[in-house]
Amino acid sequence: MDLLSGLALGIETAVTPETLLFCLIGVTIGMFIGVLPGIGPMAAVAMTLPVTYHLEPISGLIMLAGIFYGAQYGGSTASILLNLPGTSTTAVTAIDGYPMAKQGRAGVALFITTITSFFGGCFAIVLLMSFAPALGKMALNFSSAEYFSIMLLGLIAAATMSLGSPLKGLASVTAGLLLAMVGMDPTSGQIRYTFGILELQDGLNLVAMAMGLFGVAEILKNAGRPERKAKNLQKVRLRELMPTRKDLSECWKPTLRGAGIGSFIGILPGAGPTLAAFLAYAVEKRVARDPSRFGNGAIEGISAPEAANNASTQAAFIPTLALGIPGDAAMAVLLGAMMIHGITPRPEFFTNNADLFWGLVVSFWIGNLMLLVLNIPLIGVWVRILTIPQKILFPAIIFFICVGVYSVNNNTFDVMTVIVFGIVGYLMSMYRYPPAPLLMGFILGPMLEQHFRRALLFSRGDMWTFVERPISAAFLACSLALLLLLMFPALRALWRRRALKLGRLWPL
Amino acid sequence: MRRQTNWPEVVAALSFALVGAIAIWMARDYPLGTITRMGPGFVPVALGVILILISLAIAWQCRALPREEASFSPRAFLFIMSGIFLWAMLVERAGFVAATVVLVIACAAVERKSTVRSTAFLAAGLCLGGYLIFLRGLNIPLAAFGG
Repeated sequence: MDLLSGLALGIETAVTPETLLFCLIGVTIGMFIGVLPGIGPMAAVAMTLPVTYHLEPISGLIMLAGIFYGAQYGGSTASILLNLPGTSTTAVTAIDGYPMAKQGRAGVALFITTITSFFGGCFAIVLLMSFAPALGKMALNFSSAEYFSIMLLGLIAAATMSLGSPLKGLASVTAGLLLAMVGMDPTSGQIRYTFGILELQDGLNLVAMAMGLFGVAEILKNAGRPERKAKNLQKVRLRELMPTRKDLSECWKPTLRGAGIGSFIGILPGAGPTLAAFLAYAVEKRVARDPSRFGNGAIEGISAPEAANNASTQAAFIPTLALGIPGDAAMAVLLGAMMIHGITPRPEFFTNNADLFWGLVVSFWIGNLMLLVLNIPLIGVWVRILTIPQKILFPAIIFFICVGVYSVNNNTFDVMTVIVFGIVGYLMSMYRYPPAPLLMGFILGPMLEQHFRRALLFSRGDMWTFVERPISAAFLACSLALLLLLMFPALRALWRRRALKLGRLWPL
Repeated sequence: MRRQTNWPEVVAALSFALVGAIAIWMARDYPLGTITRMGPGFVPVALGVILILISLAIAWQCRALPREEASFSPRAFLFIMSGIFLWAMLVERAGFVAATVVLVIACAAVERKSTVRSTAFLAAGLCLGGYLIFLRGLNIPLAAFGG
């Protein structure tokens, strides 16, 4: 299917009153969640997942995707105005955005981040449209060996490229893979690790796990603490939004570079928007004529990372849709959602579900446009969200988590699962084990096992099958290279220094 | 002078090893199979071994790191967890409204700024909103009152 007829099909699918409505709902929830510190897009996607069971698959997907990229827009608002990144992907934006706000240029910063976010998003959507179907076609020749190797690469990337200790990331991923073993083994029908509990025969509930690890754990971290908010919250007036000509000419090149970096990182399986934003920031600092301006309100310091994180969230759809391999943990949850809707993203997706693919792509354009329109004129509203007190916010979120999880299977066992994973997530973050790789391992686990077993069945037990097939060998070589990179102390030190700057935020 | 062992970190790392060990131990009931035809026990055992190795490496790496003051709030932990637990216990027996009220009270009790008024309003709002969205809108089979 060529681009034009694809777009036509997409417009036909995505421009109906129903899909437009759910696109709007999705991006609005995304904005909202993005602005709120302490609750990320992952928890939001998990929380709204049950609602989508009652929708058409396309509406459900459009809404979930909207939450995901909408949160990137919202996150920057909290970063700039309060130095409190709403999501960890926008933590970099705070480095230069907050100083800008203190200089009275908050309006300009918000305007620039919105525009560059929009540009980064659009840049990656173009890539998605042209690149994903081609990748899908290539992947038609993939056998189990290739799938195993690329999933391994994705998992290792997710574990090691998160900030903090790569070994802890690996432990987290492996634990996730083990958790995926719970339930019935599809090949032999053997029931594994259920401890005799009937509800566990279908495996652990993804929604319950995600909500425990990200929703409850996050609230446990913040509840009962003094509220970190809004002493020096400034009013932003509409006419302060317009950047000067000098601002614009300073930021278009960084935006372009950021979009490029973000798209590249997004396509890599396992590397998420946080990494993209960091990398873009580092590159800008390197190429700048006067690096000392960074950290004091340099406009390149907000435009490049913002373009990068939005480009990467959109580009992450490329491996997710073409190969069924999520670009990062939030994508993994989205992938889980698609599977629940009976859609398994794989190379055939582009031909068999052409309407879904193109509908989704067109909805990205529409959603990004909506965010542009929502963000700027309504900045006052978003700022007010930051003033919702914890005494209202936290009980409400916990309530929605409970009902949401219950409604998936209508059983209370899943709600108990939330408690367990809330504790696990809280302990993990206390000792700085990133929870996102755990979730990726959990979602990819069953597929990884099946492809591993099938590949060895086809090769009659010959382990070399993974190396003899060139594409598979390339993926394995990349995985190995990643692991080897960690051995170099210089690189590791660099990584640690960056991690320190970020504080305790995980790349979600 | 030798630095003190960072026990919390080591214990955290070793708890991953424990998970791996349990996985291997439980897999004794699952056939391993051969490399060509793997049984259901093969992959879990392999993962268990890998997890144990990684966690030993972490324990070694972290053994001498300076200890950090972990900020743990037992009050928040206890109240929120028991709130969720009670919601799950009550919702099918005492009904949606009762369970939600208990949950909101437990969670609001964590915040020092909560007042009786704000909590009551919040509970009423969530009961009504939740009833309309979930019980009416999405047809979740729960009774508003009673089991």
